Amino acid sequence: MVRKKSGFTLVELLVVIAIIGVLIALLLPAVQQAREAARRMSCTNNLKQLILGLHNYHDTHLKFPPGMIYRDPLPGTTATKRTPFCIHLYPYIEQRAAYDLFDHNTSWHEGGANHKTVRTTPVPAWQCPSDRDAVILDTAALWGDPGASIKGNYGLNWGRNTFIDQGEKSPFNNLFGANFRDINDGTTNTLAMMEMLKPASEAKEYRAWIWNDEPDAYCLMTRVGPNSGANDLTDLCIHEPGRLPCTGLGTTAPAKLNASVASRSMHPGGVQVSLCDGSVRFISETIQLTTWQNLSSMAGGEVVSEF
Amino acid sequence: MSKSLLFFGGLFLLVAAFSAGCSTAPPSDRLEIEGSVTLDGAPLQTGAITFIPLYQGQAVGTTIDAGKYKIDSQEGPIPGEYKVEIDSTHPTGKTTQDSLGNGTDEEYVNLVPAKYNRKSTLTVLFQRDGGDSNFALSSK
Repeated sequence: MVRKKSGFTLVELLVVIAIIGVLIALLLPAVQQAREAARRMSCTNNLKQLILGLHNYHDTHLKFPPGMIYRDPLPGTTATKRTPFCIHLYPYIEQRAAYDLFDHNTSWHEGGANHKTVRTTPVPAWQCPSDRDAVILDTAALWGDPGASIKGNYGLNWGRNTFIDQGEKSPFNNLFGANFRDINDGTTNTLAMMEMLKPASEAKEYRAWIWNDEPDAYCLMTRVGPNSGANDLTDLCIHEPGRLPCTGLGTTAPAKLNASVASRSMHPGGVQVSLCDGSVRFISETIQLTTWQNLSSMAGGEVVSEF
Repeated sequence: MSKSLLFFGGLFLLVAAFSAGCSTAPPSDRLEIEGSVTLDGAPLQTGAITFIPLYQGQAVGTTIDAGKYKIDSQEGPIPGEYKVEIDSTHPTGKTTQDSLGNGTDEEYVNLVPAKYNRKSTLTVLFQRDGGDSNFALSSK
């Protein structure tokens, strides 16, 4: 009887391992892309929730909420009050409890423990899962207790040049939120909200700070295209090449009013935006700049080509 | 032995076939641009340069480092005419109270006058074979 050798030879084992290795190598990028596609869909849903919230606000108040209330003088005093955009949307995105804690006669960074609770309440609808997690901590290296706050990934369409010079009117400005009848270009051809990226928690930066009424916090300009390599003009600047490039203008007016922040995202190839008609679109970063700028004006009278 | 050789050969061909088409990017007419920026004859040490298309294309920009800037052909502009915006901010040495009254921020000043950024009249024409993209600014 011939004894048959049992088991595998070394070469056979190596071949099998090599095949499995190659298959995994082929599969892994596909899995990563599927994960990113899922995150992007979740992000689309967030934008949809916010634009629906905006529409519900419009149904109630017959106009969009004001882009911000930037140092509005309190009647009969020399004091000024600061209110960001986001709080107006809270009742319409299932944050009624936080909204009820907010005192509208006080600036967002004042108002003690109540306001701090409101500012630090997580709002998942404002977070894109493709971006890093980041908040504003209440550390002395940042702004201390009055600063503690969440950040967010969705900002407002603020026009095409700078904070103070919109170029053509957009649906949002200081003390101004458009009525649908103001949007002569058509709600389908006008941007409402765009994506933005969060600086790291420890960065002393205003960008993506949805609770702050600073010119570079959540006001997004179409001066340059989505995900542009060109530097944002910001008040405070922690330059992150390839992600959040910037040039600091300083925090004193009037210099800081020239702030101009571009829409950015971690999605490959572009950013997601919501339009005033309630739709959410993916905009390629190779969009013609003129088309991108025409989308940001609400009554510019431009013919918007396909995008 | 010859069997396993055959196998490895087949595997190699398979991988080669899968990775074909990943190698070459679609041809682009984007240009690589570089140049220098001076203010009153001295190189601008830090800052940002932004090219905003007057007609076609996307805005491009980068940081200025020691009077030089460079954008490679991955990110560069397509041929055409562009408005140029140049900013260079510098701390004045003074500090101001920060916006929430907790600490201080450094005060900055823009060394480049508004005629080269917010109210820019500076334009440049990028041609397929390259062009003059050095900028000599004057603060007067």
